[in-house]
Amino acid sequence: MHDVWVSRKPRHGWLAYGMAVALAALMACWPGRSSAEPLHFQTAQVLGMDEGHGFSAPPYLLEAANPQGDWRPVSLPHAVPPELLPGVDDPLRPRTVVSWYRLQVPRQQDAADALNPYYLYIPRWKTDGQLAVYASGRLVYRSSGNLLWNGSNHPLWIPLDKARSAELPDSLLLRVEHLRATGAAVSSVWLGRQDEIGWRYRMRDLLQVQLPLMVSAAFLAVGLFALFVWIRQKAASRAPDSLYLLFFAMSLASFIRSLHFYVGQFKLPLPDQWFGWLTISALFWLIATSHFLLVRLHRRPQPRLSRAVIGITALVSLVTLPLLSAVLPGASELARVIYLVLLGMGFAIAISGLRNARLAGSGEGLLLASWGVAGMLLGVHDWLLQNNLVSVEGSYLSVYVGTGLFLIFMYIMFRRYLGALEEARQANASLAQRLRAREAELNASHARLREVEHRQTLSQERQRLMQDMHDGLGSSLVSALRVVEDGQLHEAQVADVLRSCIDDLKLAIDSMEPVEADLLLLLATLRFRLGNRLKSSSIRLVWNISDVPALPWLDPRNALHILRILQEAFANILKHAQASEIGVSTSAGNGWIEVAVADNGQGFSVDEAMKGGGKGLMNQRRRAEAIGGEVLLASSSKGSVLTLRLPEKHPA
Amino acid sequence: MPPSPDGALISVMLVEDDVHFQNALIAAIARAPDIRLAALAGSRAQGLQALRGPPADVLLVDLGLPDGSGIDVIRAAHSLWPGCAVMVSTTFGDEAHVLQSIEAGASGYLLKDSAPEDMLDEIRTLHQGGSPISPMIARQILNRFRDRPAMPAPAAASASAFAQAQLCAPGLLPGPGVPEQAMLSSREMEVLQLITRGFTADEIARLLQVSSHTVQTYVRRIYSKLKVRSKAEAIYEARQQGILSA
Repeated sequence: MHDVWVSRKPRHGWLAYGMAVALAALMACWPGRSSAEPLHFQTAQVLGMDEGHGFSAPPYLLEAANPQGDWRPVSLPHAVPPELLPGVDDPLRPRTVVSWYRLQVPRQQDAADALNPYYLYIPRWKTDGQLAVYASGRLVYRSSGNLLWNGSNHPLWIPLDKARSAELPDSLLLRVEHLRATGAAVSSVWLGRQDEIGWRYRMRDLLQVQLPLMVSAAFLAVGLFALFVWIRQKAASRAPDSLYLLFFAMSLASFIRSLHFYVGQFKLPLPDQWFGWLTISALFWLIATSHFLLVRLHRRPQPRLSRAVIGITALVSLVTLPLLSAVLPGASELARVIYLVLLGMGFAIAISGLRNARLAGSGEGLLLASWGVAGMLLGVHDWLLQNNLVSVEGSYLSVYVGTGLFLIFMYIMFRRYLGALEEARQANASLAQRLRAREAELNASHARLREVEHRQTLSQERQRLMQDMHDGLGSSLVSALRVVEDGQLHEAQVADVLRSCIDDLKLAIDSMEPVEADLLLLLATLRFRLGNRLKSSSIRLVWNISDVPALPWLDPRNALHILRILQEAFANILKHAQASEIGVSTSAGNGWIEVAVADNGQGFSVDEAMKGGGKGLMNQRRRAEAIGGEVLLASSSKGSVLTLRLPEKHPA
Repeated sequence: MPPSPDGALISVMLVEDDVHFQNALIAAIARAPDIRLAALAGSRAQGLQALRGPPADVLLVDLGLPDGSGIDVIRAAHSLWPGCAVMVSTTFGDEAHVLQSIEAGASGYLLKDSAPEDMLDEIRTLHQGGSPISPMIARQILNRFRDRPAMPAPAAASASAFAQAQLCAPGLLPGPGVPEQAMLSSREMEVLQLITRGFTADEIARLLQVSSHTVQTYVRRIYSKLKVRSKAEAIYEARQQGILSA
């Protein structure tokens, strides 16, 4: 077994050390750096122990000379490559090997300082197994002996004063127990005081653990936001944009996947096998989701690729199910092989996405596909790192794939948001424009309507005046003409006819004046016009009117009807009744307003007057009907009453 | 007819282009013992010319004169003959013409189709301080005082113009409102209300328990308030529009 130890020089791949430039920049301005150089172990002696079964507890104390064996010098970082074809292990008691690393600590240089003890800083160690660290023969650190929960992605920061004192330890020993099938590795080791090497640990911890954790959480938060957007869209029964659901799926897969990198030694309440299955399958889900997101972005369906992606993802997720672990090896054991499948699928998706996004001219698709290619390259790096094919001192980089996705995701959301704002602005603008157009239309149609109404009013007015002149002024003038033509020139007669013509005209003019629904004003006008006539015939007028409700329908046309009815009533009394007194009174009630014109004359037979169909009476009835009212007649030998009943509200 | 209280004849000047109306009125005046015709004009120019002579007691003006509006004659008479009662003669007594004349300085109007004797009665009444009024005219006057009670806010005058007018002419302009004397008293309002209800001066006098002569003077006072008011409004409007400078 010892022969398979292979030592590799660190390879400074540009991908792996892109961050190192940023680190160096930060380093330069890191405060409180001591001038004293810390110890940096880049060589060690290694001792491979015989294989056992399962993880054993490391002893607390070591004899000074132990462990004994064939120590060989190696340079750090040092990796033990896995056996690619390990054969089938008993899953309950897998075969393990132990590798010891001995570091040569130089003699004490400076005085011990109890307040400023020494620390051991191990940037990276990795194994599916456990690590124990001894200083001066005492156990100062041990990880849990477990495939998953050993926190091997966390850089180690071990205070040494617990071991013995503030002085430098005599010796440093690292015990790495690991699965035969998965190999192991240890980076170079630093020993120094906090102000000398603390920043190294802090920086690596930040970049390797904290930052991915923060971004992953933020990604998940934004993913949840996208999920809410999607649910809202669905609830609003609009066709929801699958983009948002895919975003959420992606953020979730990415989050699950990233657990791997920062869950430390604290075990999640989840069986180990399920956790392994989950984190490894999540990577497939993440890549499958990316594929559908790409298709959604460039909108060029890839049915065959999609089927293949679904098929592979489903197959891998199924095959690695812990339920099948009795039959098949678990996800963690298969990880190395599975990751190769994953890389193939990922590259296929990314390259197909690149091509289609370019063809479709989708900037967002290109961006995502490019990041997919980059992510796959990071994946290759990580695969190499996992298999100890590149320097173990590097860091897993694929954890930043999520960071990139998150940024791309934010960028896409941001663009949609701006787009929506712009759309809303344009919608508003076009709405305002449509409103203006409608307003103009409405104005035009209003104007047309007004014109029509105006013309209608004019024509109605013309008809009204024509009718009125035909009935009153016209016929009076015609009869005057007859009288003059017949040569029976009774001056008084002609004057009388002309006077009544003028009265007619005056009433017609009065009817044009706005009386503002005031019936009493109309009656007052009538009295004013007819007053002289009554005075000259020496009939007493008893004006006994009381307030009545307003008549909103009292327009010029209706006003003239009322004036004419009452004018006719007065004329009849003057002509026929031989009365000495006329009483005019008003009353209101039950939705009706009544105007009564009573005289104390000789009376007449109402029936005969109706039968005879006197022209005057007929006109009165016709006019009353036209305004929704009626004319009532009552007569006795002591006098007559004409009552004009008017509705308070116009029937029409 | 009794002669006028001071025993002198009522002198009447007539500005009228209708020969028939002229003749009818001249004949009626000739028959009346208490009225004499002082002057006769057939056009606006003649009317204005005649105003330079000795003042008459009553001036009767037709609005539609061949060379212009009788309103000009009324306005000139109001300032040249302040003691003269001006009367506008009109065919229909429509408020538009009558109110315009009253604002120019007339105190009454005469319906041209009235019997000549009635016209003389109107002249006598006017001379004695009474003024005729119709329900429509009463309504119009009420509306005018109701619409703009004390401070007219003409549509043309914006608030800033209003403030400016006050700032520019402090002390010279007592305020943009109508003078106190151009407000109707509640009694005057009451009289106008009753007129719009069709009641005659005698009936109103009975209802208000005053003499019918008092009612007549109410009407005359209302007319002069309308005059003052319209003048104040005209000045105010002119100031607002910058036609007159303070």
